[in-house]
Amino acid sequence: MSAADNPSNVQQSLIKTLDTAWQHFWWQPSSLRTAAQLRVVAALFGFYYYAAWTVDLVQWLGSDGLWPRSLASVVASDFGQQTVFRFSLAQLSETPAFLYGLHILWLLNSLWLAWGGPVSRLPAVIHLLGILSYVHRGTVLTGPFEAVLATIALYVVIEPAGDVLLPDACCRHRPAPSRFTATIAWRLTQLHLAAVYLLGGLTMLANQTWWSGVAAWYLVAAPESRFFDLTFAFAFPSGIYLLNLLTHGVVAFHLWCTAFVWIGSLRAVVRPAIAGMWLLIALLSGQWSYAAIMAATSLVVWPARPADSEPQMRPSPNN
Amino acid sequence: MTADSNAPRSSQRLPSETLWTAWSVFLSVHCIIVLLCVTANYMPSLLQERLLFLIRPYAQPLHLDWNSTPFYLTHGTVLDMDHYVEYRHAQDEPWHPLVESVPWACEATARYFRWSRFLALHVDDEADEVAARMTVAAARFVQRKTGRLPERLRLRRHESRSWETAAGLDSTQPSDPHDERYRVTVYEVAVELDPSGDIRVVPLNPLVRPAFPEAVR
Repeated sequence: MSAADNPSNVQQSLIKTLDTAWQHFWWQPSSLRTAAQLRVVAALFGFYYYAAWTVDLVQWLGSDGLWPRSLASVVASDFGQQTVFRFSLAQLSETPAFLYGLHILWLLNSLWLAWGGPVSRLPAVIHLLGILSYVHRGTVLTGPFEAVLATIALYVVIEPAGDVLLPDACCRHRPAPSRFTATIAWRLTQLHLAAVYLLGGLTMLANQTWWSGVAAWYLVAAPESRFFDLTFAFAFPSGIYLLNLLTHGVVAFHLWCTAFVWIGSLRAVVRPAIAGMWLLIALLSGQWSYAAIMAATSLVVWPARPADSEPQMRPSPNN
Repeated sequence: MTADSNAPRSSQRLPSETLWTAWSVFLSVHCIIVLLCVTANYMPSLLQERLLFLIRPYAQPLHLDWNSTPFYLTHGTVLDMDHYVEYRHAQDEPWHPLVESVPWACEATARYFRWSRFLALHVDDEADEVAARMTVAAARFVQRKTGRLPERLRLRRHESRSWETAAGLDSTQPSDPHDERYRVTVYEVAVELDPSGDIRVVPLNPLVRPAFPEAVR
């Protein structure tokens, strides 16, 4: 038996390969530019999210609002049967002055976070706290958009990349330094986003509407919530084939993205598909915010060029 | 991630062995929790529910537990259809929408439809306290907005016309998607003041019950 065939050598080799892969995946210091772009996405979508609360903040969260504190507590805790760990600053008071005071702070903070600067972790933490405060205060009022936004805001706290200001993050003016924390934030976002794609695809297939190819009709035919009325594009006898194609295409896109975004050489195909499909989903469903944040985040965390820097292994304890 | 060929190399010291191990443990545990939360988002098993219960001190504050968020966009059930709430001040007065939609902020509009959908989810049970509390909050909101307590509140579902109808293959249903026959009153309450001055609501019968969870096909 040769040394290579020795089971203990094979085992050691496997462990070493896994260890190297783990290190390469999480610890290869990477450019702060991607982390900064992620920060800009989280901040600007956060700004939009806060701005959308501006007109109806008291209408929902005020003492005479549609979702008062007492009702929110009762629903979240299942009438006091469960301990809830969903802390919200917006739960502390229902007075308009308090709510709008916090609201303005969070609006301005999101602009500060988008611009960047040497102390960006502070606005990143405040930003996360603001988003979670709204999400936890109105759990039943939230949807996929808020889930993705809160996820990105969480990972931006790990590496806000304040050294790369907004113009450099967007326009590539100057080379950016690299850090291992940028890699961690980036990898966590990638994994979480891939999980969202997988969850979307699998839960679509959990219902016959998506299997039978007519789900797209239920999206376009919703008479109150749709943004544009696109029913005319399908309202003819052979339009059913187009509906079937779009329905199957949306499911396939979700499942396809889960796997193929990881292959760098396929990104030239994947990235235009991401942009095009999310635009299509937005047109069909009217969920523009969710489609936009998914497209923007996907395009940032799965860039066209794969990583080309060499991994920096952890220093040996003997060094 | 792209790396600039002329970029400065790492400006951050690599972590010590201890910190490295701590990060690795944290990342492993976090990824397992994320996987659990994502897979339990839709129809969780009893095991998943139990595990979610155990990890909620970590998952809930960070909103990792998305709590049945519909990433599937639609399942074509009656609950996926548009619901809205209307009120009127007197029997001879017209119905008014509870909330006007804000066209530029689609997230604000979506919030209203989610709230209405949540109400629709709870009206199936006449004794449901959540539905009663939500309609009391709506009545109080109308009172503050208009200065008058509404006489009635109703939750309506605007059903989508079928593709066959839209394509002209089925003439038994109205072709106009805004025809009144597509609007179903799911829940209606009379709003009253009790002797202590508090608002209370009385569900009216007969009600047109939502067919949840059957799909509309």
